[in-house]
Amino acid sequence: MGVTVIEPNVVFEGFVAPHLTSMWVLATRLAGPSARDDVLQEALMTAWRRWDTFDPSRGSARTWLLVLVSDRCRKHWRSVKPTEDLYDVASPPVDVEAHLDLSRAIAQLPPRQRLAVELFYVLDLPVAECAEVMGCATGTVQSTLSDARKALRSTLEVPS
Amino acid sequence: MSDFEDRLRTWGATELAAAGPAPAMRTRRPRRWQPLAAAAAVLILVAAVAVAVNQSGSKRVLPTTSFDVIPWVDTPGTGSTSALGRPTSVPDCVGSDLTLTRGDGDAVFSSRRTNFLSVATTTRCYLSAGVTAATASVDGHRGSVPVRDAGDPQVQPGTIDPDHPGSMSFETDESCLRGEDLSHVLTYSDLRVTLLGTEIPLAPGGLSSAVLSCLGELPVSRAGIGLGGSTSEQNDPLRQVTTTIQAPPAISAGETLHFEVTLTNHLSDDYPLDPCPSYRVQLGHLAESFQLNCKQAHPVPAMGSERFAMELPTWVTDASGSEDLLWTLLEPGLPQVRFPIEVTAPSGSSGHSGCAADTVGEPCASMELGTEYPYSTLTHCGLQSLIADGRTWRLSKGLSDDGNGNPPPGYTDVSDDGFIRLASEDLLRARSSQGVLTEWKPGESLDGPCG
Repeated sequence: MGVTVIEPNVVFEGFVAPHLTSMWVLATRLAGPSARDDVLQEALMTAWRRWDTFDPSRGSARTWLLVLVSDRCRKHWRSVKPTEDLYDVASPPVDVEAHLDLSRAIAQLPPRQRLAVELFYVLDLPVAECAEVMGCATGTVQSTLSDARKALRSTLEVPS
Repeated sequence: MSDFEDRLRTWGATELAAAGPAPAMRTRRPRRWQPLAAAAAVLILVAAVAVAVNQSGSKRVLPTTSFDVIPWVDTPGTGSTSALGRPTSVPDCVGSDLTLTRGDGDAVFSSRRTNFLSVATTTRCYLSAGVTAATASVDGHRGSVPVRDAGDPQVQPGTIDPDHPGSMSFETDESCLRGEDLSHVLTYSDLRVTLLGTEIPLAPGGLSSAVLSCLGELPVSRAGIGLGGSTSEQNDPLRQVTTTIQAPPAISAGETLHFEVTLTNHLSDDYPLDPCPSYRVQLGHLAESFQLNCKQAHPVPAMGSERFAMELPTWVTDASGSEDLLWTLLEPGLPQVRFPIEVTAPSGSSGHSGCAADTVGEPCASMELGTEYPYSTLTHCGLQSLIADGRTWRLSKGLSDDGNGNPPPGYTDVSDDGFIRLASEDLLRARSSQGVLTEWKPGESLDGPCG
């Protein structure tokens, strides 16, 4: 019996790297640029500590990591007063005003609805993966998205 | 797709593009201790399994194996804690502030955050003031702790979680770690350890440098540092292997102490004894390290135990009273266990034969292997050679003098009344009146008045 030599850092990095952008985007979207780094860092630290508890049979690595980001964001929300973060837009949309209106309206959604919108429309996750991240059934995700759309239409006065 | 749905998707794509690329993961620069990280993940997994096993049932009954007690063998231990193939490193110390204060200055255990991102800060643990290396272990996470650079302005209070049992180890002397220098054992009776602003108790008598450097690891918890139990129930439940001692409550000085050590494996996998671990046994202020009898032992079975017979020759002393028998496997993460033994004054018969205690340098015509004999060593010119078992022996391990040609520390001048024991056909072990251990190998006597 010999020494098993592995490089945990390297292995962990390989585990996280493919999903880092998704984690980064979700942290940016949910916590804002000012808290994004902390949220992502905490999520990564949690991932490092709990890495051995990750069970691929219960979900993908991406959803597991996004759950950690989502959890950190939720804790972040609890600890700070709501503010409106301003962040750069790399390529301004055609209708900047309409885009900002929609952004503001989404920012005012209840947390669960906002999380569903961010996962589905920004990260472009399938409903099934949204359900894994949110810890609920796919039907619940669909109804949450439906509620979010209804609320947004109402806020933005968009006719059904 | 409705217009609004389309608008949402466009909005999402724009937001995704605006988020920009994620920062690159940053792998820490290779450090000299990083190879120790090799086994770290395994330890984490092992600790996690241990926790899971401990939490999975309200009460577990640990079966014992059908193997007999493994007989004791007199094989010198290596004293090393790092070559056992089990995990020793994880980068981070997590938790609270732990401060060690020693008489000659402050040794501050501290850390910074270790992050995986270049955008964030970094975490490390540091230990300073005379300690050359340290490791920390908390909640299954272990990490080598580099020495703090003098004046490092980035050091902040450390982070050991007080709610999770952890451990720290210290190395004060590399040669001692290799078991080469057993003559410089210092006791830090004035060591003070503060955890979260509260001073926590140390093992009785303070911490000796032998413990700090050779044993390596001490349990750290709210209960204290270095406080071991004599039964497995008192051991840290996170430990993968616990130790129990069965020994007689009393022994007459000069007799050989026979006792048993049971290693119990709380994990669901066998605990390998390959490479063969060493252990350290101490009674009073005398300590020796040996290897387990791995040739006859099996891996400690999952959820099972293995018993080992132990022997430790005691020495004739005028002092009698309660002494602590301390035993520990020289392996990271395993606590020291303590068993109090009443040492009584020697009776009329010492059980020894062959050499008279009051003869200076008297040749022992014949010695039995493993039996300890009183022996008075000529020390005036330092330790040079001695005659025993009908042969001349030359010092092979230990200090020969104090640097000035006088007896080394732990020996009285002119002659010293200690004990010798034939460990093997070509290895003689001697212990001084003050407990300093030396090893001797067959050789020629020196010429001259000090030969």
